[in-house]
Amino acid sequence: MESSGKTPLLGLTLDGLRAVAAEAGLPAFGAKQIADWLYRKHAGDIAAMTNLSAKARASLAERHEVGAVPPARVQESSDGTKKYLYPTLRGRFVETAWIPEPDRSTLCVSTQVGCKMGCLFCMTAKQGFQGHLTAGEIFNQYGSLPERDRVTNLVYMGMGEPLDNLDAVLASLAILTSPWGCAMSPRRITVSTIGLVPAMKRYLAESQCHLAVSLHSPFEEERRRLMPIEHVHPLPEVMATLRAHDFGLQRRVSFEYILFRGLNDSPRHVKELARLLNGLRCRINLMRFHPIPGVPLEGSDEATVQAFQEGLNAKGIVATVRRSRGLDIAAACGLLSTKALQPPPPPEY
Amino acid sequence: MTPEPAGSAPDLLPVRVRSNERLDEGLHLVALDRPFDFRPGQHVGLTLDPRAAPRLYSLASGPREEAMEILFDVHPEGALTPRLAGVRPGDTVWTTRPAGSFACDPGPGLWIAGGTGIAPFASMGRAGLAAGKTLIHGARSVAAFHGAAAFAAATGLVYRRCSSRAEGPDIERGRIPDLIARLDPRPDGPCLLCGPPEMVVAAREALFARGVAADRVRAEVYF
Repeated sequence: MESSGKTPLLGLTLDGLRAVAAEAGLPAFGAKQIADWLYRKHAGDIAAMTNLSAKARASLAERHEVGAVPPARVQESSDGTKKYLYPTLRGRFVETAWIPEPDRSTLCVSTQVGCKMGCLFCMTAKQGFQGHLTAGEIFNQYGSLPERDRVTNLVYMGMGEPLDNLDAVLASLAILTSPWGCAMSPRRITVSTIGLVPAMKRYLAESQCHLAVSLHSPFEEERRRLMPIEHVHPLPEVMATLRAHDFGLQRRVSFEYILFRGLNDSPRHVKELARLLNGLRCRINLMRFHPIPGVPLEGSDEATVQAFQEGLNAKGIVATVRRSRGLDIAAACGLLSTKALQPPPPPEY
Repeated sequence: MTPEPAGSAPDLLPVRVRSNERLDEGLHLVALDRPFDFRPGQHVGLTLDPRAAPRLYSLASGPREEAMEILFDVHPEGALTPRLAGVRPGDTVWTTRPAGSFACDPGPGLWIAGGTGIAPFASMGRAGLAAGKTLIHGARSVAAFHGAAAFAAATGLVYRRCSSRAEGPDIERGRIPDLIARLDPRPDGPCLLCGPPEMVVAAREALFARGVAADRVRAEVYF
């Protein structure tokens, strides 16, 4: 995307818009008017904000633009899932998956271009890290989605580790859930993390949206092989943080668990998961692994997946098996990547 | 090492800066008083303002030395490193207690480091854990090969360094994955990787391509 040199309005919270409104000579309520145009009416241009004075619009347009960016490309799966490619302000790209179902439709948004976390099973990890998205770029994946009005749920489970870009994620959530923004229920939004504990504490304190934690093994040594973060924030620290937080009756914590053949899919794992999650009001989403090139991991077979789910359910753990969607367009969990569209990394190592 | 995402600040200890050495353009080694014991491979969180969330860095010094050393790249837009690069002896820095489980056993093994990812291996080497290991060290310039002389002199350590753009004595041309592909014999024992995510992911896959089992590979990613 080419930059106009103007500052985008999209992504500003009410505080930011207050400063912008004052700068444009608007009265105090002008910030809410701009927010209404940006986040409720989805105006594409400052000129369309017709309840602002012509002078104020001209003043705004001198320094700012809305900053909405339409997707550059879409791919559609045979199952109806669509994968959108969005340009970013710095000339990069991210992918966004829209997943329609009969009774709901979920939008999976990205928070970073690439990812730093290096999880063994993730395609995004293979492209390395190219940058954080701004709050506006995160919001834009929803705001500029052709199916926006059909979205019932948002999940922050696309490219990147959301809690490694916490300020932008929190700002985007404020826009989506605040009365001055989209006024969406926080119960319709889930943010995923691999367990960055300090950021997780802040997220739990400052947002009311759901939390999903990538677990993938209840055993530390095994999890270390899959997820380097285990060296930094080990599972006991993650679990202690979750147990210390009062989630109330409405807010949900869930765990993501990809089943790998012969690695984390045994009755021993079921038993340890039941012990680990004992007493925590939560659920586990079991996920099929989608093989990625160069990584010696295989997904569990269907019988094992089913037995694992039944084993957890028998121990009182609510476990569901997530359907793989958009597999034929690489839109399924763990497959998003824009590596081919990024410039090559500096030849340092 | 790993910048810590913002969050509530854990307990912080004030420590005194002993020295600040500029090793290369944008690469510094800061020595601090050591107020606690640590294990080689562990990290601490550092901040110059106790109200700000600390950023994580692997310790590069040996666990029995008086000072603890922090090796870091300066990120011009970063919250901490431009200021950390300017600290002087006698200044105060705030540190968390050491944490982390990126550990190494005595005996054979492969260490792979990119850039400042050499820090935990420098600590392990100074703790006497280098014997039997092969170390592959990649860096962007001759000056950025921190600890190269000590590694080259370490008893029982096979030290190989590479760079795709720096030239110098014993520097092999190419990236770390290229060197892994040329390793002979195939790596034995645990393989520990540390550095930027792009390097870690590429090196990990190069190891898999050499037939190294996934359960022998452990990575520390700088984030």
